[in-house]
Amino acid sequence: MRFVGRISAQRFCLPLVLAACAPEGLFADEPLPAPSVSPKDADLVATTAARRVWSILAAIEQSHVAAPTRTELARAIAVTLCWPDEFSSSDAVGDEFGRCRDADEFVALFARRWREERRPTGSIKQLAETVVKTLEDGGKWGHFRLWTKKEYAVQEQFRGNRYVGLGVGLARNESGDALFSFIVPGGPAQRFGIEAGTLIMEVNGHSTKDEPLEAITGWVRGPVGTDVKLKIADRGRGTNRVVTLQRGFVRFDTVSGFGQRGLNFKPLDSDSIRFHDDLEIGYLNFRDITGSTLQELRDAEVLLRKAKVRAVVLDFRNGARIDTFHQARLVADGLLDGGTLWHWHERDAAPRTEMADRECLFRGLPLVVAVDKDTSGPQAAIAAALQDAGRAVIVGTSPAYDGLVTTGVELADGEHFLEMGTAKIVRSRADHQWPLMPDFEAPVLAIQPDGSIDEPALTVTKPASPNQPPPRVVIRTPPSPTQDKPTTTEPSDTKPQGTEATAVDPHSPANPGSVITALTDMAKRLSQRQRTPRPRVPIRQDPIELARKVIRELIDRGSNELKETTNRD
Amino acid sequence: MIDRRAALCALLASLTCLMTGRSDDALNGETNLPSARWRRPVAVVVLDDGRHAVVANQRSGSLSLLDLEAMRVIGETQVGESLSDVAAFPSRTASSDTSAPLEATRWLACDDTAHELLLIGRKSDGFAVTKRLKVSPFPVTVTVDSSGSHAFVASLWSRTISVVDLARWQGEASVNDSPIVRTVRLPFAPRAMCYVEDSAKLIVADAFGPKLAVVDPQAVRVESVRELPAHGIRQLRLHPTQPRLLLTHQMLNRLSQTTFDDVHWGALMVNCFRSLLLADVLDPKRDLLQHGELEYLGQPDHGAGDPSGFVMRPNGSIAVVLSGTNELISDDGHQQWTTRVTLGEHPTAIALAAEGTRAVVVNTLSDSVSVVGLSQSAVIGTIPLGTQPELTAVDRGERLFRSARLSHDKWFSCQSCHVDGHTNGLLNDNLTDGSFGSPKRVLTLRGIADTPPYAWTGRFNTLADQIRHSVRSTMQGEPPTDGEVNDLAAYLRTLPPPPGIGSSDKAAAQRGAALFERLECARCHARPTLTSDRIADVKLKDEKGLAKFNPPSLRGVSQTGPYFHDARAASLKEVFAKFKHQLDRELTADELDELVEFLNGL
Repeated sequence: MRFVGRISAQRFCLPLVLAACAPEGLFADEPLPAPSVSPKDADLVATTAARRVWSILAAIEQSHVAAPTRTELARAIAVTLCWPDEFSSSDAVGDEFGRCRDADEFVALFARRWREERRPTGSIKQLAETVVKTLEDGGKWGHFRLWTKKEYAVQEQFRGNRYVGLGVGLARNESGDALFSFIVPGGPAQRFGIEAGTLIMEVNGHSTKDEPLEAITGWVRGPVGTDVKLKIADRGRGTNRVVTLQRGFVRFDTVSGFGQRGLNFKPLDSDSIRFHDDLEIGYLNFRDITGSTLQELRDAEVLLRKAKVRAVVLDFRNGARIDTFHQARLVADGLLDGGTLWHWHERDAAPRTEMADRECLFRGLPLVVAVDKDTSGPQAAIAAALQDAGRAVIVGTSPAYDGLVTTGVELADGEHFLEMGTAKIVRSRADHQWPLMPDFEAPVLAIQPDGSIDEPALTVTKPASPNQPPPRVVIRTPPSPTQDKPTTTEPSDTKPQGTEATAVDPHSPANPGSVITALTDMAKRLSQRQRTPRPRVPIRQDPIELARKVIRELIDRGSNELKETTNRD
Repeated sequence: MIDRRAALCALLASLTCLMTGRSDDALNGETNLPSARWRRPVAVVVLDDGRHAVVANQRSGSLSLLDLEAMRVIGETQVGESLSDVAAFPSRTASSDTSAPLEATRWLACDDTAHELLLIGRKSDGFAVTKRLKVSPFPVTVTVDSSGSHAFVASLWSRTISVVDLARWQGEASVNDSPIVRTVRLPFAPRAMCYVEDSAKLIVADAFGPKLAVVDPQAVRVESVRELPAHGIRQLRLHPTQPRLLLTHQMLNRLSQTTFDDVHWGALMVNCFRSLLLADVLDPKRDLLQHGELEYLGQPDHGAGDPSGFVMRPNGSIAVVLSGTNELISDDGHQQWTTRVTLGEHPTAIALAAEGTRAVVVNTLSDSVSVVGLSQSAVIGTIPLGTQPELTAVDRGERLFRSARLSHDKWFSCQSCHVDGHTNGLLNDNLTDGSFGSPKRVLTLRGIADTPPYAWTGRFNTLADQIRHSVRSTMQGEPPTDGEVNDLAAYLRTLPPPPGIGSSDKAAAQRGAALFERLECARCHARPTLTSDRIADVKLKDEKGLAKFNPPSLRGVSQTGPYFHDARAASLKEVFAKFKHQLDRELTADELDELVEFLNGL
């Protein structure tokens, strides 16, 4: 059962939509005063700049989970506030700022330094962003990002999958006319019949000529259910017309199926829910983890059960900025059958252990999670919780995530939100640390971004006509190294030497239901091969072992060996 | 052989002569029933002929007899003070004669005010109570085994199942020979039940929270009590053809937050239809959920608040009553819950009629019965049970309380967490305590009229403030009007504290009372309400470091577990033995028992 109003959006459009949805006035920011400006005029702007910096530091000091002191922070950003001269090091400058007891002292010091010292130019906004970037680049306290209140509200809309607008992208053509560069499927504009390429002359009576796109977007956005009056010219026609559209929710799927990454994907169905209709392995690709993800997984389960899959692959190889840890918590809870998710350490609060309940999606089906360096923090947290509970096997390459939970904190100026680390996730297994280490480490090369399998590890050949023999499943296994050769993984464009191919006829009477049997047999043979001495993962007749072997074959694109780690057991 | 048509005609003739002759007034079987009154139907049984139905009315204490083809009430008889359930069983004398089902049937009804089980037969002018049997207080459901030899009565607040020997009861037994042959005590308040013939076991569901028990009524033993992720389990039924147990319930996730997003996407509260393998239920060593199937009713933009009674049609499709949205939702047999039919106000119980092509649903708060054509997914007719009085503020308040329209997209109602005004005993993470991240146990609303301030933190001084906050913030609903707030408050004020389970040893309870005095528990739990308006530090801290709480009232405290703001104490014993609540010394074993006896009696 699908939820009403769910739209499949094109992958690429999301960053554009994000950009296009910046509200008006974003860049209309005061420049920092030049040295020649009179002290009185300079003071007003400098004061604003100083107050913004102060509010950033104060928020971090109060809310960051690492509890940095003001002095530490000031030292870190000293070079952005004013350049040290030959008489004072940046640490000394930082200490001076760090000693300010309140906003007024800070502002006064900043203004004085401003007049006396060499100072950065640009705008207040740029100064604030430089401060934030410097803190992030320093690497001590994790990720930071500054948003205006309006921008942050849009982010929160995406995070809740409740973005409100018309579902359009804006651009300018070569002549400088504003137009709708794309139309989000299922959004209010599409439902109204607007097409991509339509020129926009006016929005609610405002002319779009010479207006920045962000300003136009600001006019287009508004509360759900309210009207927007557009004067448009359909592409190819000369005449203008005035239309009134209603702002509505524009939904973006977060879970897509096999072959659906990239530009054109359709909603999940019985074909895309699996690797291929010959296989009994389900596949779900997580573009984002937002408010609707859990519900989408519930819907996907109905399809997967009907398709009678025997294992599910969860593809987490995306780094989506709108992923949220709260939704990650709910998805991990949904995938686990009781047990501990993790330990949540917030500042100024006792650590709490978060437990999953027994609502368990895909109960009884082994899970394999694919990760790589692009895996977002929330996705890595889910993968870690699944690994710790023994619920899923993790394959791929290690994501860099270090356990820091970032949330947005409102600044005292009431105008901005600063994303920063406000909690730490400690994994439920004491012997498991960050970063997440996959159980099977391999460059995940076999599945391309558009869903095709390059140099396929697993191919199915469809017969051209009904009279031809039924499809054969061809499995390529990696060659085994000799005993004294060091283990290396070398990607190769040519077929690796010594590749075995085991052809299995899934419909042959000799092998009833035999794709799985063949793979199991092959798995046993693989395990019995001599490899370089390393702790051996015991092979059991266990469905999760089977899924491990299947996915190992699928993601092997010619690397000569898979490095098995023994995080589990 | 009785000519069936003749018998029915005779029956109808005898019943219709009781009508007062006013066509807009459903019938009064007895002349002492006033004309405009609330009946409040809560249960329905359809006779084997598919044509007649019997409805139990809680407020009027009457049974209404309905003709489903003529679409009207053809008889009503007051049989008790208030009825909570009715069940049919074949009469011993009629054996296999199904040609005259009304003749052949006897009825059992629970009276939850008189605390009686009623044995009811048919008289030429309606129903007649043949016998009344005192049962454990607050009988709420009755079910009969297929042979009609035993009946099982679940008593809510007294937490018992009574096993009644129907043969003995119907016969001329001596006074010393009680028809109640066995009584089983449960660790929770029971409501929905299901008897499994093959194994002679009774499956009993918690009326409020997540527990499911298997009872051996012969051996008087509770074989297992288990939990599933569920609350508000309103009905249990056996699958007609497969060895599975079917149930409706809700799930409240304590990791979710009462934000718009979590409510909208069904992450906070979901409404479910679940099927469990019977073998997994009956064998305590097996994992209850391993072969279970769970279906989510409702979807974003279109919630399905408060699933209640349900039926499974012969073709395998299922129809579930949504009490909170006033609808009947059905699936197409392939897990697509797409069809909804609008019913009356707060529908609850449902039964199949006309060989499974029709469903009969009682609308508890609008005193009517909806007859639904299941294939055409449409209401064929609505049968009013009688003239309804004007709605008072309390009536309006109850309708609001039980209606999911107070929440965003109708995902849930006040009733969902505060089941029947009480509590599901689970944790909810909302902003009443000022932050997310520290879920707290849902408080009972029974008896809150005289116990301000409200909420764990005592944040709200008036009921109106608490109601406004709950509807807007916790339920993410539209702000209620002043009228709605007043009505809800009026309704809530009528709810008495939950009756305690009672103390079995009065002497011990008295010693416990003395201990309560000596330990100065009354500093926070002062008579008469056994609470106070203090905000006290009792050495308990929540995840956010909050350490001061308003003490909950101890009236009916035996019914309000688990205890403390985060439900850390599973029982009253644990409150003192494990958590040493406000104790500067250990209690002796005797003292502990006596104190608990005293508290059980509150």
